[in-house]
Amino acid sequence: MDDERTLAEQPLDDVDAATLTEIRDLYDAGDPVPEDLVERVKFSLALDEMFDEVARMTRMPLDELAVRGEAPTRTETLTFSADRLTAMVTVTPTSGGRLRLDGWLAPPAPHRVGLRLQDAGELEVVADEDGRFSFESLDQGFGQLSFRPLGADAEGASTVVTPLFQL
Amino acid sequence: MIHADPARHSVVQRAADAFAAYRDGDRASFDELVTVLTPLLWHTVRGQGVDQVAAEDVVQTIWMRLLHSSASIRDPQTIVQWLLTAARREAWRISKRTRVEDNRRAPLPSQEGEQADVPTGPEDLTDETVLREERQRRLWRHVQGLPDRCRELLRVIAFADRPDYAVIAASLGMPVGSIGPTRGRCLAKLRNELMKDPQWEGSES
Repeated sequence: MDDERTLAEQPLDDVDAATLTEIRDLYDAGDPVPEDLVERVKFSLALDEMFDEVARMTRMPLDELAVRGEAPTRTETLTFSADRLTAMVTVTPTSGGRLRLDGWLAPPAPHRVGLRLQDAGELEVVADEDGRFSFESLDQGFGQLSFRPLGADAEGASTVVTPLFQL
Repeated sequence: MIHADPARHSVVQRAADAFAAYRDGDRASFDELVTVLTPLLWHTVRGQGVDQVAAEDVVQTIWMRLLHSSASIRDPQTIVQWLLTAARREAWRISKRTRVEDNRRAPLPSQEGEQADVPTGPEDLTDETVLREERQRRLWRHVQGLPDRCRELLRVIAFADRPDYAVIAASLGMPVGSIGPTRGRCLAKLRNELMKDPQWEGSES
C-alpha cells in the first residue's frame, strides 16, 4: 500500500505513457468506436429544422432475447420522452424485407411527424387527433424523428427531435 | 492520437478551439468537434457498463443536446467537461436501469484465473477473441481487476493527451490529483500489479 502511495505521488513517466498506449490498443481492439458512428452523429446534427427539445430514447425489449442483446428481435419498441410529449414507436418487418413504423403520441394531439432517413431522404406524415402515425415500406437504416404541433410556427419553438436510431 | 507532440494541440484544446470556431459561426467546426471527442464519449459510456446499442444511443443523444444547448456554454474551454459530464450522467441512468433488469453478468474472475480465456469482467468486449496475444489478455485481466472508477478513468484518458488528464478526471467526477501531473492512485495501482506479475515484462523503467 505504501509502495502504491509513493508511486502515486511521482510524476507521470514514459512507462505510464507506454501503459496507457497499451490500454488504448486494448480497447481499440476489444471495444472500438463503432464504424460509422461519427458519420451518423454528423448526419443527425445536420438537420435543417430548428428544434426546442431533444427527446430521450429508451429501447423496450419485447422478450428475453432482446434483453440479452443476442439475435435481436425484429420487432422493437422505442420510447422517446420529452417534456412536452412522449412517443412510442414500434418497428415491424413487412413483406419484402421492408419495415413499417407505427407511432403514438401522448398526450394525443395532431402533429407533423418528420422522418429523416440517413440514406433515403425525408418523409412527413401527420399524426391524427389520437396521436397515431405510421410510415410504411421503409428500408433498414438509421432514422431521426421530429414532432411539430400542427399550427405551430415554423421557427421550431415547440418542435421535439429524436436522436438518430436504427430502423 | 496520444502523447506529446509539441507541434499539435491536445484533444481538449482542439475541442475547445473547434467549439469556439463553431460559436463564431463556422458550422463545419462542429463536425471537427464530433470527430475529436466521439471516442472519449464512447469510452466514457461503455466504461459505465452500458451495452453497445444503448451506448450508441447515448452518444447520439449527448451530441444532439449539445447542438441544442451550445449557446448556453459560455466558455469553450469547458466543452469537454460539459460533454463528459452529460455522457456519464446519462450512462449512469441507463446502466442503473439495466442492472435492475439484468443480472446475467458472470462473476469476477479470480486473480489466479485460467490463462486460456479472457475473463468476463465487469466490462464486456465486442469480440473477446480479438485479444489473441497473451500480453493483451494479461493487461486486460489487470485492468479488470482495478476498482471500477479507476478502470473508467484509465480507459478514457488512454484516448486523450497528457495535458488533458486532470480535466478529464475532474469531468468523470474523480477527485483532484487522481491523475496528472502526478501518476495518481489508479495508474499507481495498475503499475504495482504489473510489477508484481512475473509474467509481465517491460513495466520497469
